[in-house]
Amino acid sequence: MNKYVIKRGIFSSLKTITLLLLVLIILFPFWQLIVSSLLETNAIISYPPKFWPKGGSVNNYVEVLTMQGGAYMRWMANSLLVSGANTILVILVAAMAGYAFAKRKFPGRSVLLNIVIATQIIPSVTTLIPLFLIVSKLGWVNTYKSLIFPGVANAFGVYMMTQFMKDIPDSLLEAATIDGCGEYGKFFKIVMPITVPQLSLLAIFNFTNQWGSLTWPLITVNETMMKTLPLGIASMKDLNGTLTGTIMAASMISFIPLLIAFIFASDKFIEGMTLGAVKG
Amino acid sequence: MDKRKIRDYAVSYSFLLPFAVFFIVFTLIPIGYVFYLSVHDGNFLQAKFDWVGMKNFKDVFITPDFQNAFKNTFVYMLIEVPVSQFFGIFFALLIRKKTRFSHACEIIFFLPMLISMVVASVLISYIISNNGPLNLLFQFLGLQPVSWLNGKFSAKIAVMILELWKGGTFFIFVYMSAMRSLPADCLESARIDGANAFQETVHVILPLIRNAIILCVTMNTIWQFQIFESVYMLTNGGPLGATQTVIYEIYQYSFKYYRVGFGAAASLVFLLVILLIYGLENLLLRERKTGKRRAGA
Amino acid sequence: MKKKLAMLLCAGMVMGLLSGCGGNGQKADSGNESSGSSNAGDVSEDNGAASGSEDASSGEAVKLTFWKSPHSDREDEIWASMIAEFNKENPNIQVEFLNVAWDSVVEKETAAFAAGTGPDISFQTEQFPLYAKNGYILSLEDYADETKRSGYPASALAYCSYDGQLMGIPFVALNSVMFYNKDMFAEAGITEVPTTWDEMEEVAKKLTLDKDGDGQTDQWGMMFEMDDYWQPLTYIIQAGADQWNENLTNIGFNNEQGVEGLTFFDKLYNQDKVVLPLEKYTNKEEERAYFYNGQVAMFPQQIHYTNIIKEASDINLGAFAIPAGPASDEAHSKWNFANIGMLAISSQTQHPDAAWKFVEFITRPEVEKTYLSEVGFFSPQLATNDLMYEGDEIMAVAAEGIASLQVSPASDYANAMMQNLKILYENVARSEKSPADAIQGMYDAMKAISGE
Repeated sequence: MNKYVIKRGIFSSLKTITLLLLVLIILFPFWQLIVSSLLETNAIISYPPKFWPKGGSVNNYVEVLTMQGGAYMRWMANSLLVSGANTILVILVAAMAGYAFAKRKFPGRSVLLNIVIATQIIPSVTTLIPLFLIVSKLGWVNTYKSLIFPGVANAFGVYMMTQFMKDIPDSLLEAATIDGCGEYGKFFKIVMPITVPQLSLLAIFNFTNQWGSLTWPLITVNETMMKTLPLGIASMKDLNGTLTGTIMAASMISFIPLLIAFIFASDKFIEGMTLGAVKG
Repeated sequence: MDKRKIRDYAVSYSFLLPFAVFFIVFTLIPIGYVFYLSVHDGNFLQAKFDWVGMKNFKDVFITPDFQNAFKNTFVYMLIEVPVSQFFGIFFALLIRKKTRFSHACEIIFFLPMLISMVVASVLISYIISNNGPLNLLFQFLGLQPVSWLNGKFSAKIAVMILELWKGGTFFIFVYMSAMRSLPADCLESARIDGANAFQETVHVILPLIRNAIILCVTMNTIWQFQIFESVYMLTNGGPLGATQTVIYEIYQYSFKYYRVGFGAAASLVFLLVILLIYGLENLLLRERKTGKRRAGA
Repeated sequence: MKKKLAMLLCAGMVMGLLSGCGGNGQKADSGNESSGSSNAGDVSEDNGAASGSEDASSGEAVKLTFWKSPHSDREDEIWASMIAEFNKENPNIQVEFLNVAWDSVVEKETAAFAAGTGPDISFQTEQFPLYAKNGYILSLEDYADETKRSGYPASALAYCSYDGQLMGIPFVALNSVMFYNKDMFAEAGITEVPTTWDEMEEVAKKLTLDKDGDGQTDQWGMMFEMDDYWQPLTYIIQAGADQWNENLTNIGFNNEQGVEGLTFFDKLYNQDKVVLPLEKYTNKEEERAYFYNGQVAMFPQQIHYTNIIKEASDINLGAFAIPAGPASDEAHSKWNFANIGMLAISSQTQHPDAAWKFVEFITRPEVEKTYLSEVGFFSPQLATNDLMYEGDEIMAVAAEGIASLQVSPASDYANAMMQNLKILYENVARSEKSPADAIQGMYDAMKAISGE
């Protein structure tokens, strides 16, 4: 018995050490981001690396927030607006389509669903230029429309919503029909409200992806004031190189909004990221 | 009867309509255009494209850049996928039981997924820079410091470090939730049979999460096939094309060398490879289903 | 019945889509046609004088876009003040400056021109023939009069022409010099700057030292900037080879001289070991720090690096002309990388007259000198250069070369050339391939892209 306890003790402390090691590997770069965002570029690239912001200042932050006529805050606002608007549209559109695929019968249902699923595999770089040509024919280059709308065709979202909607009990929908609910009434008054947890998962998933997207904004946005955060930070690298104090500070600030959201709803985030995958 | 059905269908389609509009305009038409481009030559600045038949496809197979890119992509896949799956399962096993500590771990493991690839690449390029912390650690351990982005193989490792750090923890969560949804009685009966932790893992848990493993491996493989942003941000394909991937080359040829048809043909070839992997996954899954049925009978 | 309905619905959807996009599509199409198919002359006829005078008389504001990739990290500020100056004279013409990253300028301009949304005015360099050939750049034959042209040397105007038509007004002129750390030269007892390859090699050897005596080199004679397309090319051309073949579709140095030049570059790296090795850095900051901290003595670069270096370090900076090579003619032996950047007007612009007013204003000697001296460039207009850099010894070194500027020709394949040059140097510097094999490899790669 005693032996068993010791063995278990060793086992569980090994487990804790291993986990702490991974925690360290993950947190360490974040710590270095904070440290280097407070240092001057010279201090960042010189040997040995600094692990404490000794002699640091918030100058980098001041510079980031004041450069190019306050462009940084505008990038932040753009990112919030674009990711937010896109997410709302994705949810609405995907929920409607998912509902139709999961709960309604119509000719071509499985063919259409398969087409939607199949398009997920196509790498987005492939369709970059055709997509740009369409967006420019619509006259949307350098507008919020071009940043918001193309992403609404989110096949993964539809697929995920179809899976979620399948779980709604048919009896509930039948009861609503008997109560005299119209088809749309049924969707907006019953289906949407009871799927709020699932919808919020899709929302988190989509928002996080949009927040980090770079390639499409790179092609479609021209003006400094129309840039999103990843694009803005990537463009800061152009002339001055990669590892400057200001880029570190800009990266740090760009992380804050999602971090705050995460602190308040970490369980939702974790669920949102994994549920889609597990469902599939 | 008919009338009601018609109305019913119309309603169904009307639910699909908003998505269909976006989907056709922003997904199907661009994909169709890729097919058109793949058999033409020219660039976007010209008014017209010339029909060249299968020439672009032939070129894809004989261009050294693409052979190199396909090779690199496979190297990424063959190394990164097993590593991230192994660690995914390993750490999922460690935090499978819900405790306060494992919950705290979950929260921390999630952080890399919150940041964009742009920021992650800034972070990792600092960590692995010549004077960076990783080399200090190497020195501390008595190893030779490595100039990561200068070696053909070490630069590939650097890209994989970025990919693993940024995306690897995702699989911990998938496996974790798969393990947590396992029926408790299976595990209990194993323990009563006197299985130790290792035996329990190999003989009970792994077979039960087989579907999750297949899913994760497929997903991870396809992601690794599509690596682009990490390479673009961290190494720009260098040194000497050692980190170039297929998607990176498609980008390079379409945008920098103005060979749009060639790029389109390459992406179709590439798509075929990805479809093959999908097919393989389906095969494995089906096997599983028939196996189950047999067991049931 | 079921099928019919489905078809009906589909048809309805498709119709809706078609009419939805069609309306917009048509507009964009017609716009595209006039710019894409008609040549530049027609466009200026269409909305040239007429619309221009209308703008002026009605006092309606005209909005122009101007794209340029940055040469200074203060690019946005400088242009803001230049545009403010312009608006004093032309209050009705609004100019919106866009700082396009070098990384993505080709992608963005291609996409924008193809879509008919290209910039009214753009800064163009060696890539412009691609746009000119496909009719996206407005010919300035009718705009630039004799007096305007007379300010420029014929070679500069020729560089900016395509098919005999002037496509842009030369705006920036630059060449390369060898920057050096004067204190390090003095410390090593070097009193004369090198003027030939041999002298340079000698000096570089003297400056490559193990100062702390730990058996490892910690000071180097020179360095080449990471990802630099041009400086190593110097040796290939100074040995007597040409950058391009006759049709400007592939390299012109797959010959003996080309191999000779690249062999010298190889020797500096791998035999003499006087160049800062690639393993010492992984990004530009790390590399430049070696020069800024006095661990590297010589650094060949384009002239506007004067300002970049001075801003980042306080070394005792000097410059001399790039040492000459063994070629028999001066055009080759004294070659150094030089370039002209021009201001071009898009053939898609709605306001060619207003755009011209801007280009004409900016390229006036007293105006362009503000930008050029801020960044550290020269002007292709000799009159402007007389107004700048009085008594600046580094600029004086470069100015000598500017008077007889030799610019490599512009080409459709300039981008492919640049990408592949980088691989060529890297192959040699890393001892992956012999100079001859590396050149053959680049020839094959270019052939795969251009077909010639």
